[in-house]
Amino acid sequence: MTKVHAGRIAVVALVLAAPATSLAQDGGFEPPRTKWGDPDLRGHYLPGPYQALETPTSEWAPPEGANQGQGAAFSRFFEPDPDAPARPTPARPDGPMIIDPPSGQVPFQPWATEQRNEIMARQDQLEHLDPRVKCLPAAFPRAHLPVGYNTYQIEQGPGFILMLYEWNHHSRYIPLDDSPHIDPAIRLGMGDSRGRWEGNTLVVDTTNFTDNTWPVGHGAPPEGAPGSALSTGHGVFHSDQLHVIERFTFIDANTIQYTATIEDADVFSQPWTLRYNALQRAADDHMLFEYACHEGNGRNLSLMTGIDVEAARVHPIP
Amino acid sequence: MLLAGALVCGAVAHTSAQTYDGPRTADGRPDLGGIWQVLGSAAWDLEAHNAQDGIPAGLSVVDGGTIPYRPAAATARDANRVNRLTDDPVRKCFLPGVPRVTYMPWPFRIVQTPDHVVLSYEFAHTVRIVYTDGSPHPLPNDFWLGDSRGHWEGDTLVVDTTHFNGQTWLDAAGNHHSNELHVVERYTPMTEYHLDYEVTLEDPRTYTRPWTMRMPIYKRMEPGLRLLDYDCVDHLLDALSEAEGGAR
Amino acid sequence: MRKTLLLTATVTLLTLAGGPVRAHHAFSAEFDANRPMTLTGTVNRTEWINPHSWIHIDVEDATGNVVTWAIECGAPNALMRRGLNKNSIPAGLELVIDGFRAKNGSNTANARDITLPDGSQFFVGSSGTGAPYDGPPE
Repeated sequence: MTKVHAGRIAVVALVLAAPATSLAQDGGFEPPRTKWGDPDLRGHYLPGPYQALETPTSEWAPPEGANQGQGAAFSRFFEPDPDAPARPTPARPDGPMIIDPPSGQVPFQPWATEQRNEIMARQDQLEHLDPRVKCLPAAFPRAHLPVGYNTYQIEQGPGFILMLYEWNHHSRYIPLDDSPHIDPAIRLGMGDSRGRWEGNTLVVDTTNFTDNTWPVGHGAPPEGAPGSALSTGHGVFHSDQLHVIERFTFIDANTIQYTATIEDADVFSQPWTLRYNALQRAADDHMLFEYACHEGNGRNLSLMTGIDVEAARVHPIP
Repeated sequence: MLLAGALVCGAVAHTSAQTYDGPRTADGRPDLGGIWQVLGSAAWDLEAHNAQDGIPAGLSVVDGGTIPYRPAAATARDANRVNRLTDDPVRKCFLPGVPRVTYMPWPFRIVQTPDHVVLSYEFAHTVRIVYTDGSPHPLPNDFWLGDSRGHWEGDTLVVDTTHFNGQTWLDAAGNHHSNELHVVERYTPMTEYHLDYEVTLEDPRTYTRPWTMRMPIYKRMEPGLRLLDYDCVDHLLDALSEAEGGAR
Repeated sequence: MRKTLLLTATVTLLTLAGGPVRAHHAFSAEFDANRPMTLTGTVNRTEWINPHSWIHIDVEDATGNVVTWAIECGAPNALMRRGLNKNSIPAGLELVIDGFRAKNGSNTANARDITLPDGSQFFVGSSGTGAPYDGPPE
């Protein structure tokens, strides 16, 4: 994608106040289709390039001499591959992923802004520590925000999409059969996802989340920064009312644009939307490696919180 | 005695291709897609065992009844059994390994495509990707679930797994293996409602010879069923905070 | 038990100095960007675990004492994609480590690059941690 093209898409994204229809989002790119007529999402994907999630709501400067969080989190993770398809620039390279509200800020209710600051001030306590660091689920949209060792594999058949997430071996099976969400008493770390096609866009509706995850958060927040001063999404939390609507659209043969609307009337003052080129087609020989998360994590958790996680045992069934 | 055993095995192999008349995929293979689960108590103890508090009795799933351990490995198994409440890796929420993850008492889903058979297990959202695209085992690294390459022999999906890290057990009774373990699983659908699951384990450091276990795997038939959560790490963190005596 | 120091035989001795460690699983919590260092030693053992692999190397100090350093590297998944596997760093191999020292003064470092005896160099740094090398490629 040329720089001019990216700039044009950025203008379109800024003009539209609400999440766009699939036609305006994808600019009309026609993806190859499966034998049964759906856009073909199958393949392996890398996460997209780093981009800030949000506009901070408060100012903060690190103390002199402190380590600086570099923010451009994992650009060196993948060594440049001369045979790889050219990487398109982000839709809004200078702006945050959040396109609604236009300010780019997470629209917290006032009490929730304070709660986020409390959470970030207590990252040395196991109960408040970033759930992903504890190897709890990433939830959505976080599982589609860029993390170096989280690559993707998508399988599909008539009536379903299967998305595999390398990090912490998560997966979600998305039925496309108009089936309803499961019993509201059932809670799932990655939620319950149901999908449908709208033109060339896969729309996924997810509810039934547990409340022990963060729905966003990527890159590295600067040490000591309060939650309200972050651009990375860390410390944003949610209730079990979380409802996420995601849209996956090919904007060219190798790039899937991702739009996610997050609703939680218990925590946010309005629904909010982020847009990001989240999936970049990987080389043909790419494979997901096993990512055993908890197995090696005891030492890190002990360093961070002082708690001997490795001594814990769970119920013997079986 | 050995000859009779060979005849029985031969009979099983031949009849499987004749009896399956369930759904097939576009490329002619039996369609293993769906949610499956093992019954019985192999997850507690692969060998014949009587009931204990909270654990049902069960017949052995091992051909010949017992696992052919080398003497030192048999001693290690007995020590594992004594210390199973602290030493069983699954009690630390570590991945269960293969084939243990199959017969844990939680369901799993099979998604079958020509190039990959993906097994998603409800226990700890474990995922195995079986490569049926002809690609070879990868770089030498070890994994909790090994690396799996599969192919079809008639109506049987044969899955060859190596590259184990040797840190898993085969059940909750202390049966174990080393990182030289080589597992061959054979998934043969008998009807559209059940598979015959036969697993051969080879590990010259641990066993005196290869040995085989077998058990049926049953299809879960409830309409609208999906895999739910068993987030072992979440339960472990809860157990930690209870031990700490405070709220999370 | 809350602030118990974790001391085990299998882990290089690490002491938590003073108060709580502020960490978002971030480089800056444990390692000092202002203290780059180069270490040469022989591999004692490696741990291919997530989220960080560890290389333990025996380093001879000025007086001839051998001290084992714990070197934190990126996730195994990342290292494998850069061409490393468990046979690349066998015990006994001489390695040069370029990285940053732990803040608490222990024999721990976060590695950016390692150089093997044949001269090949691998970037082994963690990503998404705010480390000084975490910027766009030069």
